[in-house]
Amino acid sequence: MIEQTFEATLYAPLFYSSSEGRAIRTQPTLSATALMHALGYRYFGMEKRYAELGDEATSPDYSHLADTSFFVTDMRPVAVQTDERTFRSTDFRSERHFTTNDPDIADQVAGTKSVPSVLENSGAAYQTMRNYVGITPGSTFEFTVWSEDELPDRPFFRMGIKQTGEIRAKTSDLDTLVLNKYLLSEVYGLSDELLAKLMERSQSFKRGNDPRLQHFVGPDPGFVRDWILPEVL
Amino acid sequence: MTLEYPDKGLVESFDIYRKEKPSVTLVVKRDVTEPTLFRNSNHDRAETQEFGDKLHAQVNGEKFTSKERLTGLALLRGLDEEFVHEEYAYNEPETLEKSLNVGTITYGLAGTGDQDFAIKSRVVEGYTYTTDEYDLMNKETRNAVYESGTMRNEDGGQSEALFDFVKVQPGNDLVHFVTLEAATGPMLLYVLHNILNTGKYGARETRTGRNIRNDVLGIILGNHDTSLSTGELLMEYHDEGDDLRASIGEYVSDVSRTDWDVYGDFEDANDAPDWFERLQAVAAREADDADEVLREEFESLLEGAKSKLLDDD
Repeated sequence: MIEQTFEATLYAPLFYSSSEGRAIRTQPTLSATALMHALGYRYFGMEKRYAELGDEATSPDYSHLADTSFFVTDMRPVAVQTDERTFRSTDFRSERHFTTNDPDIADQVAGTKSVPSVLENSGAAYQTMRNYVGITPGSTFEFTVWSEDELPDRPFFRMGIKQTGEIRAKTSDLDTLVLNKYLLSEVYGLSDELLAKLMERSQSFKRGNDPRLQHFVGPDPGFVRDWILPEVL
Repeated sequence: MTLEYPDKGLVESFDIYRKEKPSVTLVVKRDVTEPTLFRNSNHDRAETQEFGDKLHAQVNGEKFTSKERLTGLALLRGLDEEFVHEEYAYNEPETLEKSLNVGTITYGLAGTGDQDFAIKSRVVEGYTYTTDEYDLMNKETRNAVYESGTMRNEDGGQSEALFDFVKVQPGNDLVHFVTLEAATGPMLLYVLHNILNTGKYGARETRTGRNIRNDVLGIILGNHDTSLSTGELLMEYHDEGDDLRASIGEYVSDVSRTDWDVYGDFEDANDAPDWFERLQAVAAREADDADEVLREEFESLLEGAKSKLLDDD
């Protein structure tokens, strides 16, 4: 098993729905589920479905990740700026976009001003706008990959909504591991007992408002190698 | 009469599932020939991005894709009335059957109307930035005219409708890496057509006319993802006063993988092969038999896509 740690640099704005609703916010820790797909498509021969119909088109399914020959950490922010803001778009699945030049509407979308209580009855602009808060180019992250086949020294991949995040990584020394709880419990089916042990061996556990945003921060690398990896690979 | 496609970088036929993602990246230089307004979050100017201590205009790739998609749609409708369903309108998908055309299977489409479906785009056009500085002080203030053609109304009053913009000025370029993943030959032909035949981008383009001239500097083929990033090029390989083609050459040769074939008009690239010259001539509609070839290629792509996407139901 090869363990490689990388420092990744972002070269274009990245939008990522860490939380969704009228505003889409990107939290600085990038999820392992997204990184699994980004690396899987590019380097590990993961199958991509170019067309989906019915429920498949609307509900996420991560079960295929359990069959892959590699495992990744979340992307830990090293130096990240999240002040990028773009007001646009309706439903992020559609190609339709909306740009506002009205500061009042922008404030409402950003949540700094009250929004009409019944959005759906309040005119075209309100019911369709979303605010994307993204991560700025130049931001850096750390992540670790375990795999049978080695990744190149400088892998390149894309992530985020509409794949706008362009990332180039270079090998570096391991600093801090961050493991994604959703991936471990829901995709790989790790027992609650093992997860509890992992929490004890971690520096902290970070909670979020979505199941995919729960992170084990700074687990003991030896424990991860001996106890977690045999379960997932 | 027929076209020849390369062995590398493309797939042979339309398919929904792909394990391998051979890719083609077109290196496109978009020359700004008229002052152009790319507005994003601000009404009167482009988004900006700082590289080093210089400000560059930042443009979302969709600002190019959407215009290019429309060029493609117009071509399809012009070539054959069978190519686009008569009830299909761009951005207003109803059912998959009515929305299925060369444009939607190439650039992707999400059905949010009567039927849920998602077709992923095979075309990736990332963010791009102006190669030179974007001057925020260079504001153009305009004054709206009255019907008389002057800024005075019939009582001699001054027009009060003022507006100002910060446009990207001619002489500035945008380098754009347009990547097609797991695409068929006809999809490459279609995208190339749309790039070579679109010249109006940005806000107010219907009144300002042609403002961008696209030039395909090169093509890169690989068995894997050949994605490149304009941000990386400008942040790591290009300084003020550098020759752009030299910077592109340096960038591509530094990050290229052993399986890449690099053709084009920049350093360390091979000369464009015959198949690419021919492909460009047809895509630009300069070849005598261009329309005939385009029709034939799109027909076979569409038939393949219909058999995979519609017959399964």
